[in-house]
Amino acid sequence: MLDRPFLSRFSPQRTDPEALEKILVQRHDLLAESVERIRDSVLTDNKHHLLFIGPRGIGKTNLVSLIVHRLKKLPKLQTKMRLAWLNEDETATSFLKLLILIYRDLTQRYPDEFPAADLQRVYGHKPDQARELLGASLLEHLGKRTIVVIMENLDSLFKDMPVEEQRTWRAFVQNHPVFATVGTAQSLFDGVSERTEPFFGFFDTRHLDNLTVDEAITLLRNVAKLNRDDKLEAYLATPTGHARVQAIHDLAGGNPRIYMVFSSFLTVEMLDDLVRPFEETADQQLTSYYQERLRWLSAQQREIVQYLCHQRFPVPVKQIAEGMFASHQTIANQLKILRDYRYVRGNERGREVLYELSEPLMRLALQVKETHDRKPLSLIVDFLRVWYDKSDIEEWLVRLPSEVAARAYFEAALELINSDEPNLRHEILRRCLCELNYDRCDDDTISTMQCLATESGLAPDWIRLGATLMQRRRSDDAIAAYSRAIAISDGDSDHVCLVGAYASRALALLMSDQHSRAIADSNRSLELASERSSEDQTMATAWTSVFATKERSGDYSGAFDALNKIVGYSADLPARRRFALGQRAGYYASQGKYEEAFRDVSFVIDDDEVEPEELAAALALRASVATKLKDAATARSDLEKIALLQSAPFQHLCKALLVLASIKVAEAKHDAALADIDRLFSTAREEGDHAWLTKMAHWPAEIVVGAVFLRGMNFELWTTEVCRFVPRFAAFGILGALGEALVQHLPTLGAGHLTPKAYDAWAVAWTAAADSLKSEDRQQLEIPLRLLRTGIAYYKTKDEGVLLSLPSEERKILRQVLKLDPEPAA
Amino acid sequence: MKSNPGGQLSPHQIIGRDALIADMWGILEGRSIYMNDLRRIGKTQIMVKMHASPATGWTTAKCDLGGFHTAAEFATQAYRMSLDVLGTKQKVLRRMTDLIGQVKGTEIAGLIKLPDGTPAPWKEVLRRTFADIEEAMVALASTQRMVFFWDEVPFLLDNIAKRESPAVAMEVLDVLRSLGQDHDRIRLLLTGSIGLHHILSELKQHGYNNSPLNRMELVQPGPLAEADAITLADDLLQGDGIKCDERAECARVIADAVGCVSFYVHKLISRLPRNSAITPKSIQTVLHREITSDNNDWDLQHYRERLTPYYGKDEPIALEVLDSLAVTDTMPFQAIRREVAARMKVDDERLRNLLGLLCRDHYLVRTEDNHYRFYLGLIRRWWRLSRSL
Repeated sequence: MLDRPFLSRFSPQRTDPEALEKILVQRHDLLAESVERIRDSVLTDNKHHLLFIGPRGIGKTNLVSLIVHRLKKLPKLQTKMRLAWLNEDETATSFLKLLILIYRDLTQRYPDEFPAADLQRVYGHKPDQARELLGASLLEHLGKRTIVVIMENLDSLFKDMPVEEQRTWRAFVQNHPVFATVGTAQSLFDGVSERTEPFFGFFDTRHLDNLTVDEAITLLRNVAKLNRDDKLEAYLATPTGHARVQAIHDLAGGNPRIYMVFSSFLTVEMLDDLVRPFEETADQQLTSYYQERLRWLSAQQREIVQYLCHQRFPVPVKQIAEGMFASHQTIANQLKILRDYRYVRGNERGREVLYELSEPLMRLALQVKETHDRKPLSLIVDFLRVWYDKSDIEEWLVRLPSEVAARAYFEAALELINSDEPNLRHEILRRCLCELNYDRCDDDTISTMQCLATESGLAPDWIRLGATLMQRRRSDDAIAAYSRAIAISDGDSDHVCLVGAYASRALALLMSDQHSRAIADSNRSLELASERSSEDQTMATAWTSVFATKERSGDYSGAFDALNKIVGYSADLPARRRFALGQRAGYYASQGKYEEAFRDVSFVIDDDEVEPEELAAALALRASVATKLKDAATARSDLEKIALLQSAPFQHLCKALLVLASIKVAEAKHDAALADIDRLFSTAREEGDHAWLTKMAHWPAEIVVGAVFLRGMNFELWTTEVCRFVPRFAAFGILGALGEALVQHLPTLGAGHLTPKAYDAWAVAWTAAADSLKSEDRQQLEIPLRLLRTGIAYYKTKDEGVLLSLPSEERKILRQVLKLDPEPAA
Repeated sequence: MKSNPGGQLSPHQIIGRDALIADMWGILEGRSIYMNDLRRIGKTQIMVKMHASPATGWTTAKCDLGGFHTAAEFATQAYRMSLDVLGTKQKVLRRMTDLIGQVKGTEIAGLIKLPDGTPAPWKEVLRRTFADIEEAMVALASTQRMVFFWDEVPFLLDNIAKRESPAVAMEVLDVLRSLGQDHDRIRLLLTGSIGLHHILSELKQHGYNNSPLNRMELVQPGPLAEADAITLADDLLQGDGIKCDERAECARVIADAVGCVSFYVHKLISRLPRNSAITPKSIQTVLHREITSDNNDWDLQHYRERLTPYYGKDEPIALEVLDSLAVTDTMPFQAIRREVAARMKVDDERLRNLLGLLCRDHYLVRTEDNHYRFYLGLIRRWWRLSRSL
């Protein structure tokens, strides 16, 4: 223990900053950037005012300590910067008192520069005069240097200072730009975030994030490295270590201080040394703070917070309402207030919001308060049973003497492991994996899933792993995972899992082009489901695999029948039903049964739970079906709905915009059509997707050329609009399509019987737009422009001789476009 | 150049505003200016830039008045600013020297006192100071003028109303108006974080009926010109060392996304990731997250919340108007009327009046072709998100 560097869990300023540097995670960029901003403040006339926000234990003081540490190491700053660091619990009810605190700290740090006598001199004066005297004194002694004021718990300071005094403070800072500020606050407060307050927008606020699982692992590894614990450092890098930290993370959130505390418990020796001091520190430092925070709340709000303290996982409003014996509406209202006050936070899961405490340390503090007779704190007990296996705990208990404090914790953990309660680690992992989107799973998550499935030996865990592997296109690994699920559920006679595992393996086999095996699995799935008169859900699962295999093998009639079965079995399975109806609508449409297609796809659209991507696809299908049914109003309305969807998939949105623009051109609403094309380009730019637009380039090109021309004989507007759109086509590398559309548009130009002036204006507009391009882009329009000008010359003169100015290949193209007879062979 | 949302900027790092500033110097030739606009639009930055590079023939003095709480403190400050600018030579500020003697005026702290030790009357201090400045300007050159850049005037008046009385705050306003009329060599450029009309409506409840601003030019600076906002964004992206493949395009997207408001350009760039390259899409994602997060400090919710106190029973109509304009870029009066009339009964005059108020309160702006649109694109964007439009 003695050779370990001291890491204070509650007072980072007492820790050697070099040790803090070594264990730093996540905030390297923020730290470097903050130091750079303060450096800028000291060396230039720019003055930055930084405010770091985050709950207790998030690492604010840690960060501030490191900023100061790094600033002190910059030689260039030493003669130009003076530091004042106000204590965390300082109170100032006026700007004068704040000035006194700053000056007092300066006299302690730099007694030769800021004489204490100046401070004594102001006492006895009236406050306004004292403020003026001290301010002048501070500015005089500071000279041309910049003062960097570190103010922790700025929110408390603001709470105690009346708004008039805040105005005085702000005015002083504005009139004397010699201050830079580094502040911290537990949460965002009205003094800086309300538009009517003097300091609104004054601070550059940064919210400090909780640690992610990977960052937590890095932190724990850094601490292990600092403690020269190679074994622990190596273990944390393994998939099992990752899975354990993942479980801890879900239990305790990503609060760095919690991890610092847990890092002490990763070896039993340290646990024994630290558990009592930790309990006492938590009791002394946290409990009073959180009790004070609870006192600000109404009785019902306090009850909700206490209820959440007792929940291991986030819970929905309904459950809280039942636990509180109150109405859903009442609790929802109170939760909104608690969310605004940042006591709780909401996590969206589908359409539901699950609530938990925003500060996990609050749960720990309340546990300390509620735990009598020095019983083990349940959060630490939970930590032990998540971190250690049963055998580890039994082993420790054999080795630990009966009198050590840590023993009670291991005994409590073992008791819970031996009880009927589900395995906490597995339960936590399952829960957090369930919340993940399959398509966002990375390799680490897959490793965690593998650990869970291997440890639990349960078929659903293997099926979940298989589904994730499928999403990653790892079909062979998925087949292996499903095979394990089949073996386990066969042994357990778990009929439902068995049907699911066969059906899923069929899909994986299809992915790896093993059609005959896939058909065998889907048939087996259906046989099993039918044999035991399964529930609808199981039948729908089996039929889904049948549908996939039939469709893949080209048996569309069989696939269609399977879809009918799925529809029949999924009356209470909205997602599955939407899938089947959407697919069936496509089948009907391909068979020309538009009314049936319209009916099916309308069910999907009208379902309240439809996901945006599904909705966009369904609207696109119905628009196309409605067009066939001559129902232009519905088609247009559906396309407009897609265009308005916040998260419509890119391709659906772009296609909808193109179709809408074409309709608007047909309706002579040229401005509106061009606005749609403009949005198409903005969307493609935001999405960064060039490929789709490149493929479809001819479509917007034709619309733009046609709509700009038809807006009317406003020559200036032609130039403006052409110059607006040409660079957009250039940015996407699709000028070729625009050039082609311009040439193909020549007959429309000719049919318009334009005046010579109008012909020239059209050519001038395009030439001007081309001239504004970079030379490599301009080259792409050179041939089309030559053809345009020659075509116009022909329309003006009706003399085919003008075509002779073109090379023969270009002449040939132009003759085709102008519908002139081919040139006689030479 | 580094992003610095809300902090103090060196004058040379205040981008743009050159045309506006040139206009404002032109206006100051003829009359004083009251500058009013949304908070954080950049009013103080304009003052800083004008103060740092005054036009030929102008002497300038600048001060944030939010720290003064009595009329006497304010008058003392005006005198001190004049001393700072004009120097302490006996020749200048003759009238004030006559009033207070040689020594008292140079005291570091406290109010100006008469030779007998009693506080000098604040109106007299202001009158003599202004008269002395006028004289000093005439002496300097035939066209020399002085302008006071006074920031946070509404805070000053509010402070005085609270510490002394609303009546004293009214007197300060009237004295300033009268001094402004009497001295052609002195101009005022006033502004503040909150609109002066909020303070005036408070004072009107205490019997104030004058119009202190009616001889002043009202200037609404608005956001930066698009080109300036793009330049600013480009400079900040470079200065902050943010990785991006298409910096010019990213700068354009940033300027556009925050409606070309300098503060928001600084703010958005300060929130962009440093460890990965940004793209136009990721910029939009960051902004979306910023303005919709529970913990955001953009306070756009203010625009929704203040509708209730500002518009009372007209709130539903205001909501309807704003909702309509949130989904349609610009609309003429008749189109807005159709939208509103489809949902509720409203007469044209009431609606016209409401649209005027929405413009005054910086929700909307009237375009040259007589359409209405949101004043800031950022507010429109937030409005659509927050109301799921």
